[in-house]
Amino acid sequence: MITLTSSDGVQFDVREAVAKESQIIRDMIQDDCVITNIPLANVNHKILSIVLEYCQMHVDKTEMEVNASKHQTTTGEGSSSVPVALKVSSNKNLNDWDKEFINVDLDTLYDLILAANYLNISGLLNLTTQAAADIIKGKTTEEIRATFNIKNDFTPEEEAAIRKENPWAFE
Amino acid sequence: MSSAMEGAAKMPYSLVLRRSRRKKVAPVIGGDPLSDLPELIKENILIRLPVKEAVRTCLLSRSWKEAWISMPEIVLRDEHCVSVWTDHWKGTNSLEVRQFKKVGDKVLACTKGAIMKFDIASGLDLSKPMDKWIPILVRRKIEHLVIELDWYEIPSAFFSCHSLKHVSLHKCHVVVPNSINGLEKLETLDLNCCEISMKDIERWVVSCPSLRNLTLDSFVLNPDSNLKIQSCSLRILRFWGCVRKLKLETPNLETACITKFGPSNNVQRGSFVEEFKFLHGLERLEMNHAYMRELVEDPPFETLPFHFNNLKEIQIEMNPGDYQDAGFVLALFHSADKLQFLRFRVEMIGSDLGNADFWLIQFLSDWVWIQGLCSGDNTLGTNYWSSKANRDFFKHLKTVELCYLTPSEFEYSFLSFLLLSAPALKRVFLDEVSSTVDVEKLHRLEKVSNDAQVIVCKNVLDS
Repeated sequence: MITLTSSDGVQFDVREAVAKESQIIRDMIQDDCVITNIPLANVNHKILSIVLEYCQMHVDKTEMEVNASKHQTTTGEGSSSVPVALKVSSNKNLNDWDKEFINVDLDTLYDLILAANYLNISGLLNLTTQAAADIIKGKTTEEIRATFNIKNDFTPEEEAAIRKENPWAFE
Repeated sequence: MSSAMEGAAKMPYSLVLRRSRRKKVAPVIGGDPLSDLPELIKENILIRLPVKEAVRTCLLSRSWKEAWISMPEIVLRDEHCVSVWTDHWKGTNSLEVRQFKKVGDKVLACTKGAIMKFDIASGLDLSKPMDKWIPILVRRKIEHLVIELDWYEIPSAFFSCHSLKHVSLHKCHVVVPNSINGLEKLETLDLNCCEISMKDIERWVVSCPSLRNLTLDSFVLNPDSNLKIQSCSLRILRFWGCVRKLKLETPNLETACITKFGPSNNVQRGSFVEEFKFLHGLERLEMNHAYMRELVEDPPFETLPFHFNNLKEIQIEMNPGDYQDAGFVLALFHSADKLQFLRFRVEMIGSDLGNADFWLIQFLSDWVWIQGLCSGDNTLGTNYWSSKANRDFFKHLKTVELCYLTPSEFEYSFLSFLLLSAPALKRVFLDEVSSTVDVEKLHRLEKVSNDAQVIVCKNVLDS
């Protein structure tokens, strides 16, 4: 077990495998194998608990598959050897779970992006940045500004000039 | 030390998780945290948008004006680049091609710095613009290139791109220049449905000292050629296609997934021992039935003259009622005592093996398999497999997956053999099991591992 301490002092006891979903924690454990308590200065307890929920779920799913096959996908390129039926159903479940998991308010989404970036959890970073992109996708400039509370600090002349610079993008 | 303070600070993990926190996406109140994200994260978000939408973010505010310019990845798709479609999109200078070209030209001209990845897929004839873009990508030190264009002829400039690490070409026409002096950083090469001669593949592979991962998919065009893969760096090989003979000189190969079809009238028989004796490091072996049959000695060896000390996974197609298949598989088990995972697809062998429809089905999809095994010339007695049970075979085997089980005695017997030979077995997955299989009987089979579970994933009805 590893104890992770959030920036606001809340401690979380988690299995080493769960903590190791984070690349920086993985590196710390590798450098110092007796480390049991890791303070995380940039993540508060609310976000850390959500991040750990993600890690827990992904470790559980992976372990289920690893039980089924010891194949190591270190490169990420090796085609997996998990039984087809199990893999398909578990990937589908995990994707559905991810989708439901990431259905959060924007403030939480920003915090999750930053936490995933700081802790270097590539799966969570992909999931969160994709979620942000999906919110932007298909919206007009005005709609994006409204959604994310982005203040338009251009003058109308500047705006027209920018449009003129890249007219092809606005076709 | 169990003070109240500590108890208060330490929240049980599971309780924290049960807290409700879900809310629908709602506008944020005050602040603009999206704009305040670090530049690298903004780029990470932008590369996930259709290219024009990514560029349009320049209009959001000053802090976004130049964000897209440093996008390290460019993905170009018809639906993102072409806004007006006509009936004449097929020409080399159609309106659609011009629209696509404009987007590509502009994005390449306006973005700055190295381009990590360029990924283009289109049904349009973009050969002319692509010929211009490739030298630009070479200058911009492209690392990852994905091209999926109908029969685009890869220009020779491509082969001077020494920054390339990952290349994936789909439906391209490739001629490797005579003077190729190697893409020394290339780690991953994926050729899918490409038109390329076997000689060119051989020369390309030999010239890449860092190549670790090679995929050659859908080579059905050269059934009369031999292919020799020579590489000391190669770790993963995936092959799917039709060649006369496949020769592997890859001493460090760890994963071999080979689905090979020979031309049915001109199969050159090989020898598994000859072909695999130098592949000591193999950890994972996947073979289709045709390839296995091509390599199996007649009569099959009872043991192989070498060991696969690292082989942990085997995926193979076999007919458990066939003498040659059985002999080969047993010899393989003998030589791989570290085996942890086994997957079989039960394969039908019958007199109609050479039937044209059979091959057609193989080529259309490698997941369509004819059911109803063991109908024909099974040469083994039904208790063959149970009599072969041996606890020395599978000391480490934990998982077995069997596909397409039918209720033949051979298959019950084969399963029984596995259950009696694998003391560490945890799970046997049975997928696509015929509904006529007596599942109760399967569960009653004797086993040497106390933990072994037989799990039926999917029952299929016999049609």
